[in-house]
Amino acid sequence: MKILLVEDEKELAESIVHYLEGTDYRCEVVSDFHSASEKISLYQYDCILLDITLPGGHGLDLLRELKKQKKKAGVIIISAKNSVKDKIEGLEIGADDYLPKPFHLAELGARVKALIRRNQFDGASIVQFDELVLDIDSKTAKAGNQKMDLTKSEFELLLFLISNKNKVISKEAIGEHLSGDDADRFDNYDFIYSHIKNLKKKLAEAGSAEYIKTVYGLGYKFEL
Amino acid sequence: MKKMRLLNRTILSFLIYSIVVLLVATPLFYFLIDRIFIKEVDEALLTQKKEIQIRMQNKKSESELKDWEDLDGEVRISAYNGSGFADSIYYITQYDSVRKEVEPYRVLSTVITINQKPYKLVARISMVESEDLIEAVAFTQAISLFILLTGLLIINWRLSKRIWKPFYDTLEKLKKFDVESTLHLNLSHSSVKEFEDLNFAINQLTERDYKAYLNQKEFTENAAHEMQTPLAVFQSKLELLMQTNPSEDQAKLMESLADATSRLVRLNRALLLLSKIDSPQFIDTEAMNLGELTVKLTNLFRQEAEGKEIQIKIDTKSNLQVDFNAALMDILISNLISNSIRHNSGDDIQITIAMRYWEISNPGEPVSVPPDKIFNRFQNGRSGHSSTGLGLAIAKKICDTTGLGIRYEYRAGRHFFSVYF
Repeated sequence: MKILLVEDEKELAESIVHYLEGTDYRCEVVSDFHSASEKISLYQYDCILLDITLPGGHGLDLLRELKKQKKKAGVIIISAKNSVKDKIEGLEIGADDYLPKPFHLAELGARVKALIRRNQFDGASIVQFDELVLDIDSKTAKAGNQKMDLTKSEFELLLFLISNKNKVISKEAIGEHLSGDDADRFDNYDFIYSHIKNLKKKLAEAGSAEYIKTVYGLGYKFEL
Repeated sequence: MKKMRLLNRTILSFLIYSIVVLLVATPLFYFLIDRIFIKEVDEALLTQKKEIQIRMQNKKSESELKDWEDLDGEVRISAYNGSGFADSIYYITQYDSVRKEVEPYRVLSTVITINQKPYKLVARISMVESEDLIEAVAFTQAISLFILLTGLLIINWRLSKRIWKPFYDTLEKLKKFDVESTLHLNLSHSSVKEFEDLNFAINQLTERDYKAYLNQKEFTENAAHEMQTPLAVFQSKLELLMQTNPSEDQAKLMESLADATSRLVRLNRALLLLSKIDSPQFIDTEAMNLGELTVKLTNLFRQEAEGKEIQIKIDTKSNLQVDFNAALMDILISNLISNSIRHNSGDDIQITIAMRYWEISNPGEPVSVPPDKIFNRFQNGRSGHSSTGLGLAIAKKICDTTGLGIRYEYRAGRHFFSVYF
């Protein structure tokens, strides 16, 4: 899987690359409009992470160019502006997702995964991890042949964990993921704890292995 | 003290002055006319005396004097034996045989010398006509003075009203002035220089205010924006750090950092939102059912509420339907619900949806900030909260920008927040 990251903030770009390379992706980074434009016309990518404010041009123009060349790459806009106007315009031009800065790397990881899954398998909506099978459309999960009775947020939580497997995911990242865009709803993310507890219980009941590990006070890790 | 309008104050002064003038001038005038009249009558009597003296020089006999008396009923001439008699003029009331009434007279009593012989002369003039005349003159005078003064008052009142109109217009507009929405006040023009100067000064002041407000708003927005990128860098590095198999001590430090970062991120987002609520990006509206929306949003809070053992009850009395921006309504309702969970000392939250309002209440201690300051920024009722302190400020700003009313009340041990549509 090839990802192109168009981001002029060097440190942030490094973090993203570091995080995504640890999963199954290969990342290329460009930091200005022209080199991005060059890369896009020369190579094929599965996913492009696009910053809107770039030296040398506007990210949305890059997106227009991309659509004109009928490239198949999915596009996630990452922007510091968090403006509804940019979001709507970006999605209208043909971006697949919009993620305002600052974001959790785990959130980005999950979005990239979801985007590639949608594009790659022509909308096939099955996610598999070991004996766990998740159906995204019907929001149902099975462990082997055993169907699990998960609530909507437990399902989202499980999917989020699997999307960031082998990574430590902070409580904050999980909390914001579950509570949506404008997450000033919660003072703290203590409620994550009971969610995780319930999910662990249901996984165990379905006969699944213990994938969810607690990492000190930091958060959780999903691994074999 | 009851405040009086400027116009009424001037009119009142005029009115008091007019009444004083009227009250003083009328008797004074009457008195003056009276004096002038008496002087005239006295002069007439003295002239008569001289005339009689001259005419009588040729009369020889007493009988001739009698004839005079008969001709002029107002004169009596009689022999006089004394000497050294001075002129005296006085009032008497006598019976008038013609009018058959007791009438006032002005009488001259004097001694005249006819053919070297002294005679006493008593001449009188009736004052009846003169008194009537004086009264008529004084009355006319009083009436015209009255008409003059009331006329002046009315003219002054109407004139002042017209002259002060631009002033009151300006005052009305100033009262409605809102620095967040008005660039120009469009003050009406006046022909009075002072008012024009005033309007000019006010226009300058409000424009400066508006520009200062824009500047400050822009600054907040820029500052919040500029912080997004370093925050993103910080947060991402922290997440990477978490992947490095930290020791328990290190993990604890990271946890604190993650918590602080998360608060910083939320605070920054709230600041950005606050500076953007009145921007055109939130202008689109759509029809929405508040009951359904409340149920939907409440579900998002279920976990947190249950964690604090709080029951959220929704009482839908009316099918409240509004046209509103979906994002703003989401934020408004969410902020009020999360505020209710945060400052809840009991175990319930009651949401009521009625014809014209949406209301949320929960048990809680009285707030330490004055109730009218509760919507101000960073007025956390108690310290130690990890809330941004901007939730209610954002709710208030949303209501102000969209013309909704929002009110806070504390009664019977409960906090009430009501939004009026």
